[in-house]
Amino acid sequence: MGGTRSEEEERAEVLATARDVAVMARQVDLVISEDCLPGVIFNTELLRGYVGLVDGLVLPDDCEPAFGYVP
Amino acid sequence: MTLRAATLANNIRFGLRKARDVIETTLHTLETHDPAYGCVTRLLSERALRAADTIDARIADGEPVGPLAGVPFGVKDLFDVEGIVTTAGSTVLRENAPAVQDAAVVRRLVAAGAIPVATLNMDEFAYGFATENAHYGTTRNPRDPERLAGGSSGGSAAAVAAGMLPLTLGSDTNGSIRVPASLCGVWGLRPTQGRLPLQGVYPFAASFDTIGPFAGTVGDLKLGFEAMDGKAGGEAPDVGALRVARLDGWFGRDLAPGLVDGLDRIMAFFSSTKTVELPEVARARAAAFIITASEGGNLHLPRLRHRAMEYDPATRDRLMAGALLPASPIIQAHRLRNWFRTHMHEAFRDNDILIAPSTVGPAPRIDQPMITVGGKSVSARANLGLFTQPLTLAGFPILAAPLAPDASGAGGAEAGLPLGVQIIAAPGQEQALFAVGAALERAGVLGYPVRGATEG
Repeated sequence: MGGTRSEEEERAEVLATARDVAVMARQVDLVISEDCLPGVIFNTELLRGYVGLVDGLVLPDDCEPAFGYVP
Repeated sequence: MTLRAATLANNIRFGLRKARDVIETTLHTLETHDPAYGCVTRLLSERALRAADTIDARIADGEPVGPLAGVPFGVKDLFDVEGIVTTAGSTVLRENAPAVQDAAVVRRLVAAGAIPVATLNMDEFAYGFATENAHYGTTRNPRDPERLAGGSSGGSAAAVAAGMLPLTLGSDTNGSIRVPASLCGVWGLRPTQGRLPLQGVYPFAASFDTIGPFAGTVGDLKLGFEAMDGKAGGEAPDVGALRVARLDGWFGRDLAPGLVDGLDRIMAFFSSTKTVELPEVARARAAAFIITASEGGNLHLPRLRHRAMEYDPATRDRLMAGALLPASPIIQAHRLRNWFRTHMHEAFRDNDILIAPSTVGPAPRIDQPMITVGGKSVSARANLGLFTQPLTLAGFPILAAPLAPDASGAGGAEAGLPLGVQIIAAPGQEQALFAVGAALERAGVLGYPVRGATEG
């Protein structure tokens, strides 16, 4: 096996992401049609990888967000 | 074909050519040559000819005209141009009212005597690195029309590379000036974040959106930037005294042999072997991805709720996924941005200029839009920004510079295609970038021939 996912595992993961996407879409009042769903799932999984990278860096508590707004 | 902007302006100012003649020739060139490349989305013929007549009349009356008198330029289709709808490369906005005035930087260029002649193709809403647009077509690379021009400001880069225009405008959120400049073999500038006004520029991801010029020579690029900036640049530094280092680590992987040679030539010019390794570059790139996706997604969410099927499918699905991102990783990405900015400033404590590649190699083929990263073949559209995105996060000014062509003939099927580098300075130090670019251009290390640009 050695890290290789079976087709069944991959399908289960996609279905899980599809369920997550449906929940997140409801939260922002967005209806994602069947035509868009595969692409949105693909991009959501891609972004999850990036979220993992960003969350993986422990930052000091006094490191503030770099929002650009200057009053 | 088009001469250098500086030469054109001088010829017109000193009465050697009429602005009208220049504009008529440029419009004819765009009409006859552009179908092979797909750079132009709209010609501004009537306005351009009217402006040319005004310039000629002012010169005849002995009135002052600007440093770019009669110089034609094109704008990426997200800059407001008075009287027409700003499409941002989409059909979704076509019912919007026409712009009531030009974008601020377009007004500044016009005040300097330049004349807008065309709007130029881009990835829809600037979300991509390919300029493959479902509505307006794919922009082809003038160096090899079977290859991508890069994006999202592909029309702007390709119009200069083809010798059709001496000066164009683009926007750079994650690399949209630097990537197409590199693939097309022209000069481009991503100025310091916030230096140029974005009034009248259709947004993408406000945290990173930046605008800048493209040109065939670094001199023309400087001329265009100073007009956009509304003032002449300050004193240029002594290039020989600058401390130059090359970015290593993330920026040294997967490079085409020609790029390695080119980077070596640049470092040899400065007699420097110094390298700098920035920390956590993969996470910096991830933060740029997250901030871009979430801000782009939020911007388009109201339209995606009702008009999703009018979008380019590739853009739409990315925007939708971005709109679904929860708050926590977005805020973490902004905190990481702050952290990374501190490390970038630390890198400039001991250095004045950093050098990095712009892309891993030359333009990918349109029918095989893939690049190799870490031994894997990945989508060019999503990954051409491998080296530009992390630097986006810091917002420092970056000159996109074409390496001089490799005369050795090495490189197999991809020999002769342009390769580009990023030259990075501390915030506000654009003059240092122009000085370095000019020195390397004079030394024959940088600069890729553009039809007409080396004349005069």
